[in-house]
Amino acid sequence: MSNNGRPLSPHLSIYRWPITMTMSILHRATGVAMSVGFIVLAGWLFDAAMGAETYAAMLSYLDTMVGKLLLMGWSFAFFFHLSNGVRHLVWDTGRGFEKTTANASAWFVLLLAIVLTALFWWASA
Amino acid sequence: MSLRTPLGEVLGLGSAKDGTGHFWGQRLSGIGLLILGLWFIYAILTISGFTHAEALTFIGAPLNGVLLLLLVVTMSYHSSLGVQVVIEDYVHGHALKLASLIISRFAHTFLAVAAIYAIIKIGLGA
Repeated sequence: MSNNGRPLSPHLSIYRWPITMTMSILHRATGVAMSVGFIVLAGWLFDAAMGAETYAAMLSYLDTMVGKLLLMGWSFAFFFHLSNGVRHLVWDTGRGFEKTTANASAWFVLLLAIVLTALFWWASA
Repeated sequence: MSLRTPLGEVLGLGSAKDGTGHFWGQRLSGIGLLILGLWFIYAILTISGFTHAEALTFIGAPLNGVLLLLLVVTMSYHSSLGVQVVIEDYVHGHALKLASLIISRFAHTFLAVAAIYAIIKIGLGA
């Protein structure tokens, strides 16, 4: 495809990074992260059915530093994906697409997810 | 005169051969997970502990068992739809894409069935 010096349409790298783009990427990333987390949830249930020894081994993996960090990550992924999912459901009704509204709801959802994650770990401590 | 077959006109899916089924499945399972997910968070916060005996007591309680079954089935379905879109977007090359989609479906089905088996086994005390 020859360009002949014609002006190109501005692409991703030329714009200031908008918060809505971060939210879109995070929604997908947290979704994929929880798909991996589903392995752990199914594993927890299955190992409980397998017996005390298998269950204890499973729990000892989760009770490490890496395990706890993963659990914290999955809890944030859950609260983010849930809150932003509701944002998507509102969009499905045709509302909230104005630039200022979309930006405001983005920040609201991001802060809400962080607060809910913090509350969850505070309550479970 | 339309060249479309009567069946094609009734289905109304056009040349994409796909309708709004994926969209609706994703939204409805999402709403389901909103409820079930919040219940699961509540359950984690109120469970007495995570020893094997406490886990069996929790999973084995009838209402918990039913809600856990709904959770893993809905989660598997919602996750399967989501991962499908991610694969369709990022995996290029027909063979690799098709293989990835099949593996994802099989893996999601396997995890769901393993979880269902475990919940029922514990619930029946077998």
